[in-house]
Amino acid sequence: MSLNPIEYRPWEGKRTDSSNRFMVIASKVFRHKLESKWVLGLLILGTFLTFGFSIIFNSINSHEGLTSESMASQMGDGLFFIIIIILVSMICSDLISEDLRSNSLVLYLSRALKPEGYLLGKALGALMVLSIFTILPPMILAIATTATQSGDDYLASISVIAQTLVASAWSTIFMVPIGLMISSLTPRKTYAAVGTFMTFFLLMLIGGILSSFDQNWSLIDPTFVLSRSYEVIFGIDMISGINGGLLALAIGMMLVPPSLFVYWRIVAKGVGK
Amino acid sequence: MNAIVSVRGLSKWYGKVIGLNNFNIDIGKGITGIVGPNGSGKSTFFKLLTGNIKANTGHLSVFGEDPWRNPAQLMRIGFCPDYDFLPGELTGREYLRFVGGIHAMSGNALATRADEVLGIVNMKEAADRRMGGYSKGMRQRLKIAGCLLHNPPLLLLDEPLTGTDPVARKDLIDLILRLHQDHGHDIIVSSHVLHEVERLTRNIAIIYKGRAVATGDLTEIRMLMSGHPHNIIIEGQNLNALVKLLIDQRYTVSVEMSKSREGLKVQVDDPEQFFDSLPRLIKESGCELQTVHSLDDNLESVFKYLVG
Amino acid sequence: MDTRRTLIELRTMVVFSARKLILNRRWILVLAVAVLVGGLMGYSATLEVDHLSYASDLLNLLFLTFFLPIFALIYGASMIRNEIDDRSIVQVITSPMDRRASFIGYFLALTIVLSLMIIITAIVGWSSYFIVAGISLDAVDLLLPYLLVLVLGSVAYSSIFLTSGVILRQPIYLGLFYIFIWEGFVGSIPGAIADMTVRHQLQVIAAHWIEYGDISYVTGDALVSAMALVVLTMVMVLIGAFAFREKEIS
Repeated sequence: MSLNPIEYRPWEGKRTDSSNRFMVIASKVFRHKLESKWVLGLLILGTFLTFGFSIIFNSINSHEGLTSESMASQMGDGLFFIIIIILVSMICSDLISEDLRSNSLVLYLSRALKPEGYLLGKALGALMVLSIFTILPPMILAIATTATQSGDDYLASISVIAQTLVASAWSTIFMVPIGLMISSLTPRKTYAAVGTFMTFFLLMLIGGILSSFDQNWSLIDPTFVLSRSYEVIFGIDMISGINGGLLALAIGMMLVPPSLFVYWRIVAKGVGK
Repeated sequence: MNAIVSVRGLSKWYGKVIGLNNFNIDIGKGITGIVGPNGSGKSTFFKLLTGNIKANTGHLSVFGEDPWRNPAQLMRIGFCPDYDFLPGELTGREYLRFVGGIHAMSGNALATRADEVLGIVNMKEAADRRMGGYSKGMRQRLKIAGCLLHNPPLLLLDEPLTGTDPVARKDLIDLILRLHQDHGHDIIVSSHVLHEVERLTRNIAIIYKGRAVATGDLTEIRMLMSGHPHNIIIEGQNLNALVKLLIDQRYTVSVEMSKSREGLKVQVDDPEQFFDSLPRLIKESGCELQTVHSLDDNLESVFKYLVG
Repeated sequence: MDTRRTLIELRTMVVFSARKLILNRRWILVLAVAVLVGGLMGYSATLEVDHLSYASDLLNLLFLTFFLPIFALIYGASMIRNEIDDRSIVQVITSPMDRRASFIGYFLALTIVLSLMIIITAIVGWSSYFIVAGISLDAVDLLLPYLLVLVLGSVAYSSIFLTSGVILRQPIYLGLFYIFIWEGFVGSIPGAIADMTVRHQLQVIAAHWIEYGDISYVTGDALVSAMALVVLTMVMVLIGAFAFREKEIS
């Protein structure tokens, strides 16, 4: 007596190229986050509060053109940073912590997906959501101001638009590594959210306290670093007393160690440590 | 019957999901098995019995009182849920000290009782180890110890055998039987594994989609199911004559002979009459009987016929 | 009501809940904060300033404004909520202990542990500062009112966040909103609306005893503030206790 053969038919569909699989994760993160009414609400509210009035005001009022100083000032507003911090907390808190909680990290990495691809996908998804607030409104403001200017030096204004794009992209990238690092520390997303929030505010607090010694201690404060970065991008004179090398070091410290830590955590968890 | 648990028209829903639907049951003393597939309402029933949740409609009484907002009644109930909740950082003895403390037990009385209960569940040796290192069977036994500690008359065991290996399962079944036979606890035990419930009790309640489909003694339930003839296997030698005699009986629905002619499968609609008449038929036919057994005087068959 | 029974049950709840809070890995966070605060305040003491005023401002900023509510949020909002989520609360709700009494047990444990942690970190910070700046009787006079106010704050914040943990599924977000938006933003608006924060009431009480730093300029009746905090705590504990009793826990 023979067994009936199992009716196995291999899947004939087209497989995503392995180098593009991170896009699958990124698009899933993007779609999932935009389904959250809290994230959507904050994106809309934040846009309105930080850029809404400016867009209307600049469009109505007479102005010569778009200047670097005005854009740097607009983007250096404290509320812009606070909302970025809240958004990073909300967007990044469950990206890795949920996978830790549900043990699906092992599942991801047992597929044809490398830790780099997983991390890139998660980061890209977060960046795509965050850019709705950090890139779109500033760009709309810059373009609206340029379109309604009374002066005829459009080239200067366009160069400021380009600077705005760079500054916006930089704002998008800057805080995400810390958010991902905290998310990788705990399987509970609410602790990750609190931790992210707390980390940024604590750094702001410490920077503020130590700035009594030397202005450069303020570079511990991520929002201060971001503001100084805008000055560099927009070609404005930096406030006095700030060491450019220390600024670069601060930027490096806020990007590189958190990113390396997240990568190490994912690899370690992936092998079951 | 003096019912320990009495339920009339009980319904409980979670939004659109129905947990129990016009549920009726009386549970008396002894061991009662609550049987049903996953999602049938067994755990919902237990949560209602302990007052964790309240019913949307209907009447429920445990020892004559409504359990909702009635914490004093929990002195008479020991509940062992199906999920794992034991804190890994405590030892077994420390856990029992906690459980005893929130049952207002303290001092030497608590320590003595904890020792006693650890002995009943056979966990004395492991009691001073952290529970994080316990096996599944050990955790189940300690959960049972926790619900025994205050010596309640009624134990509610929700799927106590889930996830345990065969050896642990046998130990737990023996323990549950001892708790009733030697220590006098009345027990309501739920499971979706039918043969395990059968090993514990013949007194069952079958739940399906939130309703009590059948309650009572397993055999009596089977007898009531006249729409489903009983299947009985007879094995032996020279069975031809027996076949002819069986065909003439009014209770016989069908007779099927095996190829080797040394086995029969008989379908009868009145098993009691069949078994009463079988010795006479064997004598008349002159066959040599080796085995007789019912294929479906068991919970699985009852369940299959009732629930599908 | 059997008082002896209730006391035994309450004592058990307090002891085991406090133990669970302390043994939880979050003590690493407290340790990290203590080290951070110690280093920060110790380094700050090297400035040429009026040390008593500056130390007062640091204690106010770091502890009263930031760490006290944050610790209360992290510990308090998750205390009962975590037990509901991981279902370890079953042993409490299937005991003959009245759920209202259980809630009070949780509250007492939380308040004790939180007070201890915040006091320890405050003493570490204060010690680091004045070891560098030089300890004096005035420095001790500065510390003691802050410790008292931190304990009062622990009680008040514990009641708020523990209750929110019972009522809400995601109490952390509301807690963050309360600390950073309500107390941080609304609390800095001049006028009567700033009075409607726990932080302001604590500062009013502290200002009654402390003569140094910005906190000494906070005006208000310390007794009224203390009463307000007591009433707030009682109301929140009552709400929490009754909500816990009425809560269906699957």
